[in-house]
Amino acid sequence: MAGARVTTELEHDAPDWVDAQGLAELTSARLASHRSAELWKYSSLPRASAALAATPYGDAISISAADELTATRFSQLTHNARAQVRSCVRDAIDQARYPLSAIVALKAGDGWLLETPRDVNSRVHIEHSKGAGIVILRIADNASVNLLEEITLGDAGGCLLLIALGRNAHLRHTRVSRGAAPCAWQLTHVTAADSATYELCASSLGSTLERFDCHVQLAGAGASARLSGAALVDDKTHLDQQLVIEHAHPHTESTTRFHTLLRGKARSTFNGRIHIHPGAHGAAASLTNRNLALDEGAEVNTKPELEIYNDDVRCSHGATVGSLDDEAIFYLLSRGIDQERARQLLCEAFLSECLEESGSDTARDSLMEVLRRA
Amino acid sequence: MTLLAIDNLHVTVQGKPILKGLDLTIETGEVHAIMGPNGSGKSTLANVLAGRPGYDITEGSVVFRDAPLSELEAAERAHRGLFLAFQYPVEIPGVSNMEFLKAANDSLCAARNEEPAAAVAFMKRVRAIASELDLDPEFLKRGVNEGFSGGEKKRNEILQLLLLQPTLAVLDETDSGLDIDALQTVSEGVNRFRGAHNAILLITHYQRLLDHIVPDHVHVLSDGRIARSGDRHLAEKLEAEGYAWLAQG
Repeated sequence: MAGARVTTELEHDAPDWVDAQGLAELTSARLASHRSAELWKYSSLPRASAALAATPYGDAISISAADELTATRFSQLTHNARAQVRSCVRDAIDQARYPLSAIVALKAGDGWLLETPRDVNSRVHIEHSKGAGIVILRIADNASVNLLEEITLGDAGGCLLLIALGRNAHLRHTRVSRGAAPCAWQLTHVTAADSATYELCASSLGSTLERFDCHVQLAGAGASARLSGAALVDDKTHLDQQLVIEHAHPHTESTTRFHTLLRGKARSTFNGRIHIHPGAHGAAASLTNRNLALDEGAEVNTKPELEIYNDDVRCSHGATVGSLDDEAIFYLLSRGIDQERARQLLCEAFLSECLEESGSDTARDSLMEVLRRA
Repeated sequence: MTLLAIDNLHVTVQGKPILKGLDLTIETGEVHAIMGPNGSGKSTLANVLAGRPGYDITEGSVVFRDAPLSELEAAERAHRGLFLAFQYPVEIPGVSNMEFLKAANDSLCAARNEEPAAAVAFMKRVRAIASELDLDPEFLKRGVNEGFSGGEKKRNEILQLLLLQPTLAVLDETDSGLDIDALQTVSEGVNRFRGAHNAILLITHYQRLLDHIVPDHVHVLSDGRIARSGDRHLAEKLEAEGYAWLAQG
């Protein structure tokens, strides 16, 4: 099994901020477990773990941050701070749910700790172009950050992005994935304290095997998340998006809207799970996933899930899979717009509609450029 | 000049005969009204003229500005100057009304080898027409017909009519769902469009639209063909006596 080989290969090189426990978890038994089989039903976990294990050591994440934000390599941290990072990585990541995280953490070798002081507005740009990387972003109380994350992998790579939002902190996260990697895996893990807000605006193009895990914990009263994602998945390309949104405290709110456009024999998987814990009174959550397949032979697997342990909540979820609306096409044709332009307008509309509220031009432009090219 | 010549037109929809030998000739400068009871084939006529898929011509011919319509795709019909105001305009979320109007206008300009208007001048023109039709300029930023009321959708059709300036306008039940004020506004728009170089085919169930847009010719469609033709007084007779007297001859 790939997992067993990975473990022995990596063990002696583990940096001290990586939890050794993580390694122990990473066994062939874990990779082949029933839970992994369900979570990785439509993407090959053995292929992904083998590809990530074969990436070279050392991270290739570049960071450019505004002055208010301090960026420190893990290797430059004091012993105590390293211990903190270690527990942060250990506590944040459910190793059983995210079995690739240990490989990525080990492969990264070093990582970045980004921190803001309280009450500031700041911005940061993260670019992940190759290999494995790990970034911890801590946004202090009342601070507000604009994050642009660009993923431009040409070869196999993985990244852990761990975000902690303090009280009343705000993060607007624009995530643009436009790589062409044989395997790309990313975990974005967010913890939001009281009244913090997390906004994700993601655009993806898929690749040979692309998997995006996003785990949001609304871990304080009144914390909220708004997640939107638009994806354009082309012929023979694969995209697997897995979201978990946990409402752990009262009056937490989340809105999730993901749209995927498929061309040719594209494969797309979406799983969105909203988990309302017993203490989350007055929580509100909605989740929508829409898929538009332009050609025969595309494959869509979509599964919105609600897990509710509380009566006092408002929740809705839904998923659709369809093709272009013939009535809309005819309406456009009847105004002299040709078939190709009509289809293009409707495709653009489908993708932009989902990103509209977030108003991110960067995420939208990345998709439109590819859409118009073909 | 003859704009439209329909000769012995037979149309089936999903194998079911709907139009069964319809004849109609429209000259430039004319306004024709087609009335008829539900199910007589009024909307089928509108749809087959516009080129909606699923409407099959099994016999007869339609010639529009010297070209057989059946040989033209829907977009080509529009390029040639045909316009259908939809009975039920479609909502297209995500495509802004302004973007849609610009795309339509640019397509028509390209087909006519004309230079399309610059964006600023174009938007100004669209806003001016919207204001004549009492349409809030905010509508232009929203998705095409998205969340519009029935009356707003119909006014949006007339906005397109005035903007795109077709040669033949087919208005399919444009009066349905309109209150008196909206009917007045829409009719004024259509009357502004009306001219010596174009023609209008009004399809309607009720006579009330014809009080506002006075037709040159009125035809009664019954069981897939024109059962009676006359001037505007025919519409008044229908209003007074209903469609039943047709059957009695």
